[in-house]
Amino acid sequence: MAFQSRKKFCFFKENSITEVDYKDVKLLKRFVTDQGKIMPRRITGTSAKMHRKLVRAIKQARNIALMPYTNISTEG
Amino acid sequence: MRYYESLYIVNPNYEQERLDDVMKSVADKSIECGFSIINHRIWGKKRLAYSIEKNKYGSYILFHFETESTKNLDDFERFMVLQKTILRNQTISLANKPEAHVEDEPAKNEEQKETTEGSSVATKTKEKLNIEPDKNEEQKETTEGSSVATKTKEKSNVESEQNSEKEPLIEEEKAVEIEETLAQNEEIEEKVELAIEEETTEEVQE
Repeated sequence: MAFQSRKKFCFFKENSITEVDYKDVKLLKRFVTDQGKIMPRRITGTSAKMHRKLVRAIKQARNIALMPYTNISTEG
Repeated sequence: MRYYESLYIVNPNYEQERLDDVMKSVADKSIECGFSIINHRIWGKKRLAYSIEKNKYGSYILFHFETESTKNLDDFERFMVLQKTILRNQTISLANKPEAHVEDEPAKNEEQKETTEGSSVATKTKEKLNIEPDKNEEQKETTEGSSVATKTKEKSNVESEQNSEKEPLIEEEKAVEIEETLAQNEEIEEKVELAIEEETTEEVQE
């Protein structure tokens, strides 16, 4: 069936990552949509604790222009 | 002791001398504020996610320092903001002491990355090479059996091969894991798109 529920897992727990670095853009991009929005926890399956750290890291990366706030350029 | 990390962006069109001047001015100010410098290096010229003062690129400079008092942090922040040569800066407190080695580490990291990438590519090619000859052999067999049965055979053989390859080499496991995670991410993105579509339809209905 097309709508079989997949077992969610925390990416950070699986890979035993305890801290999220805002300079690691490659990792942060996994948890952001094409538009640049932060994915909700219910979809990515990250634990609450790591999601808080992740959100903070993404926002820090946005502030220093490592990640986009929005991806408008792709639309136009 | 508290440890801080300051990352700031300088105009990418500056030559090395002007970059050094900027770095020197920052270092002087930090010493004036009573900070002790741990690292101060150019992180690299990168493309900015959005243009800052009409610049598409920027040279990032990473600056680690430690202080006991937090008094002069505001002063330092103010200095950084007022500098016209610095496009943007961000200072963050660190939980642990950053590693002090400056020039040797980045080179090592790059080498490691190259080796890992090379190994992953090599493993992929290996898998392909291993798969191809078997297919040929099985194609010979297909002349005897039915096509459907041979297809299943091929699959099972390929899978068994991959499993056998996984055991001896850990690097291959990593490569496979990365591929799996990538695939999962794609699926997640698809899900997100679906969710967004649903939301938009709901809004329209309302």
